[in-house]
Amino acid sequence: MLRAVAFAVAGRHVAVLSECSATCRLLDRYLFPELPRLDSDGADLVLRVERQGASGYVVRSPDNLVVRARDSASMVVSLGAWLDDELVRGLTDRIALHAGAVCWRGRAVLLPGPSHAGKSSLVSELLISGWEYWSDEYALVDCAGLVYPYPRALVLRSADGRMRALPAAMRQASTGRGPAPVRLIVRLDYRPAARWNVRRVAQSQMILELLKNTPQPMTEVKMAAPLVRLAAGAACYAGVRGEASEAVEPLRELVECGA
Amino acid sequence: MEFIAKNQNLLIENLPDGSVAVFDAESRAVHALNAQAAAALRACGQHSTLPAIALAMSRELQTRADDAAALEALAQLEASGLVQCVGREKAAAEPSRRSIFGVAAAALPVVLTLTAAQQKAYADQAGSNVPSISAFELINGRLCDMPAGSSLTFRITGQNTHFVNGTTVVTSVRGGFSIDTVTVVSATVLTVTGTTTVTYFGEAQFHVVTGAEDLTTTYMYQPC
Repeated sequence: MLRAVAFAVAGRHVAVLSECSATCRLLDRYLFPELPRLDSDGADLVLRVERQGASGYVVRSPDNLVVRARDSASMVVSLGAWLDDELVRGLTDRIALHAGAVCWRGRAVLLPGPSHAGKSSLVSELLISGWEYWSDEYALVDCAGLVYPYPRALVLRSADGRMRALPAAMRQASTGRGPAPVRLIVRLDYRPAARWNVRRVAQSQMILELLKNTPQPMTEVKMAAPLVRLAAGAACYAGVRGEASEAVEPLRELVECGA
Repeated sequence: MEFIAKNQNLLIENLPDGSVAVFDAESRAVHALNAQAAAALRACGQHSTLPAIALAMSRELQTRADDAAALEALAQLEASGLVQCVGREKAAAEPSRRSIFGVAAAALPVVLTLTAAQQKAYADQAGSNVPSISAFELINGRLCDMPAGSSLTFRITGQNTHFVNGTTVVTSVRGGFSIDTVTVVSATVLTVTGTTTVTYFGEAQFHVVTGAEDLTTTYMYQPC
């Protein structure tokens, strides 16, 4: 019997099907686990997951094989990454920012940065300290410059380089619903053993940083308008951090002082 | 020496902190000006001589901006294509810029630029870092034209992949195709040459493994 895990995200109705109940439980646990589950009827993005015994898993769209994985851990990570790229590519009324997004007492904070910048690690530490989870990968911005969550399961790199998915609930964190204006944007570079050192930067400079972390090419000037509105309402900082656990308190101070 | 601000095809966004974002609709470049550089650009729109621009900057910033500070701002604006210097060598060559040294960093004008090509390059990189196959092409004909025994060459293009000659292994998942050679062109491109073993070979599916990097891709039959 075909079972489904279905949800709405980034303007799409996604349904992931499987005949294996164990696989469905896995998908329910790791695919956007905080989003309400929907009926699969009417989904515009349908995927099917097949378990192939010792060979692992394959995930198919109606037209193509999208993921092959040897085990469940790598399957959920690879499927999540494929969904990220597919959903971002299909955005029509919002801009995706490659950024961690969290909320402290109603104040949304963006942490833009490319891969390997340590966004997921920092977001994970913030959740442990009681921050609200919005995303460790993308923040979605509408034309008014308001930010929406993209609450996928966090993806953390272990010491051996393997990636693993971690639902925010495992950090005892609540997940935001949005939208909200951003009050603080902090562009951080991670350097081992570095001390926290950030400085305030001009809002116009932060717009450039946001453009560097937008996976959609800006083919028209008007496409940047939402980023202008977003930056106009935020205090902007850039700098260096060391271990994620040591960045939690400085970030809390920045957001609480109203920057 | 006079300075003329470019005022065509520009969208200027004034931010609450006094900085300015300038969007060039023609080149699709984006310029970020801090408050000092923004004051210089605005002054340049109303005045053209260095002393007048410096005076206008001083009034807007409510702090003294001498000719050297104004010249530094204008030099950066000129380098970004937002201002044109008429009548002399480029503003950057003016010797009085040397006096800018010693001014507090916070008071220095700053103009940063992101070109359209740079933004696109960042956009291409700003996705997830998980390896994937982004293109799978047959580069010597069409599948529907190939009888059994035909030689086919496919090109596989990856994203965030790490193909390595001698390490990457490609196997044919579906029947009907026998792989002869695999050539790794780069970390993200390889070619696979082989022979069809059935008539009406309609689909190629390859399993591409490089260590722990395990990918599968399918090339579908296209009707002639």
